[in-house]
Amino acid sequence: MGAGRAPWVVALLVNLMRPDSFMVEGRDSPEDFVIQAKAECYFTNGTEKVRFLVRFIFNLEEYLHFDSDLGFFVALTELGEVDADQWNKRLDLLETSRAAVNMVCRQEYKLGAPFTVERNVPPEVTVYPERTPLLQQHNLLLCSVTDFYPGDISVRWFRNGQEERSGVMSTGLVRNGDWTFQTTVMLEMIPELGDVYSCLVEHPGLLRPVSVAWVAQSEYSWEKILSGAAAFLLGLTVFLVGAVIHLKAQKASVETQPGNED
Amino acid sequence: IKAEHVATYDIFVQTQHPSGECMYAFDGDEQFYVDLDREETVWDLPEFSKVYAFDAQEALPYIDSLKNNLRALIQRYNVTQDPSEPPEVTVFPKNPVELGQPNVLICHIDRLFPPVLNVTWLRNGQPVTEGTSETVFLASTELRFHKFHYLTFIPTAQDVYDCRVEHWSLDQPSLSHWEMQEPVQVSETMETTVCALGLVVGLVGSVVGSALIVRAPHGGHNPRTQEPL
Repeated sequence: MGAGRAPWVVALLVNLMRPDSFMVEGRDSPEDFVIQAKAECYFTNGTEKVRFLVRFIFNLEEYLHFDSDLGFFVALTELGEVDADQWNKRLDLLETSRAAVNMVCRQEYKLGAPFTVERNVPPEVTVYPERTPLLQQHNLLLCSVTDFYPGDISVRWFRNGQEERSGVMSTGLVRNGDWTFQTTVMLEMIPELGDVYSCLVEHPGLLRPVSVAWVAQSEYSWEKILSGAAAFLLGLTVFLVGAVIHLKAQKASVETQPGNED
Repeated sequence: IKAEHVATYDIFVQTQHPSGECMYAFDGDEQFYVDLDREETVWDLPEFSKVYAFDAQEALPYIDSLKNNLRALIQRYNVTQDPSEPPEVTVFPKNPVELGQPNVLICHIDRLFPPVLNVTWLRNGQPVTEGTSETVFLASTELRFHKFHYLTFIPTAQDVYDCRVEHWSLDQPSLSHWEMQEPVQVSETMETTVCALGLVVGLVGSVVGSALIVRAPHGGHNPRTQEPL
C-alpha cells in the first residue's frame, strides 16, 4: 500500500466529508461511539477469483457496504441510506471501487506474497504425559505443536501403529498474534507395557511428516534396571569374596600367636 | 465469506481513547499499523517493510474523514451506545513450559467492544512492566475486536501470573490466572534411579571387596614347623 496506491480509500473516505459535519462541536461524553471502515479482499485459488468489500460500521451495526460482486453501494440500515444514494450517483467513485479488485487486491497480494502467502514456518513438536505415567493407570498424552505458519496443520495420534480416533481432544488452532500458531492435541490412554504412542504432524513447512514417539515402558528402561542390578550383584559378589578371604586370613593369623608363645 | 486468503484494511475512530486506529492484516495477522500519535508506520515483522511502503501521512485524512462522519451520524440520528459484553480472556504460554527456560505468556482478549481497554500483567499480585508488549486492536468476529498482550518470563515453580483486564463491560477488573503445572516426572526416572543406585552400590562393593582381598594378612606360615626339634 505504497504512496498513491490506495486511491479507492481516498475516494471513499474523502467523500465522507460533509459541510454540515463541521457545524458539530466535539464534546466529552461518558458514552463511547465507534465507527469502523473496513476494506476486505477475498482471494480464492490465488488471485483467480477476487472479491472486494468495503464496509461501514457504526458501533456494532454495519450500515453500508460496497461489494464488487454487485458493483454498487448498498445501504444495510437507515444510517446508510443517504450516503448510498449519493455515492451511487458518482460514476467516478463507482469506477474506482469496481477497479479495486485489480488495482488494489491483486496488486497487494502479489507484492506481499513472499512474506504472507508463501510464508512457511515449520512446527516444533513436543510429547509429554499430563501426569507421571504409571502402567494400567489412566493418563493424558499431550502433543504440543508450536510456532508454525500458516495455520494449516494435521495432528494425529497413533497407538502401536494404529490411528486413535476416540479419546482425542484438541485446543483447536490457537493464534499467537505474532504470525505464528500453536495447537495441542491430547489423547486419553491407559499405558500398557510396551505400548508405543506416536504423534504424527503434517504441515506445509515440513518436507515430510514429523512423528514423535512416547513409549509406555521402553526397553531402554529395562536395560537401565538390568544394568543397575548387574552392577549391584557384581559389587556384592566381589565384596563377599573379599570379606571371606579377609576373615580366613585373619583366623590363620590368630592361630599363629599361640605358636609364638610356645 | 469463503476464501483461501483474506486481506483487510481496517480503520476505526471513536469518541473515547484511543481515538483512532489504522491497520492492515493478512489472514488475520497484522502486517502494519499507523501510530497516529507519532504519525509513523509500524511493521509487525521487519521483512514487511522491505516490500511495502505506507506513508503514515496518508492515514490521517482517512481518520479525519471518519471522525467527521461519526459526528454526523451522532448528530443526524438518535443513536445510543451499544451495550457492552464482557470480553473473553485467555492466558497461555507460547511454548511448552520448562523450569528455567525463557518463554512468553500470551494474554488474548477477544470479542471486545468497544475498543477501550486497560491491561496489566501481575506477577505474584504485583504489576509487571518490563518485558511486556502488545498488539493493536485487531478485527474479530461479529464486527468486534481482539487484542494480544505478551509477557516474557522465566518459569519458576513458585511464581504465579495474572492478566488483569479493565473494560467498559466489567464492574471490576477481571483477572485471568496462570501458573506452572506440577512438573511431570519422566517415565524413566525410576529406572534411572535404580540403575544409578545399582551402579554406585556395585562400584563401592567391588572396591571394598578388592581392597579386602589385597590387604588380607599373611598367616600361612607356622614358625613352630620350622624350628629344629
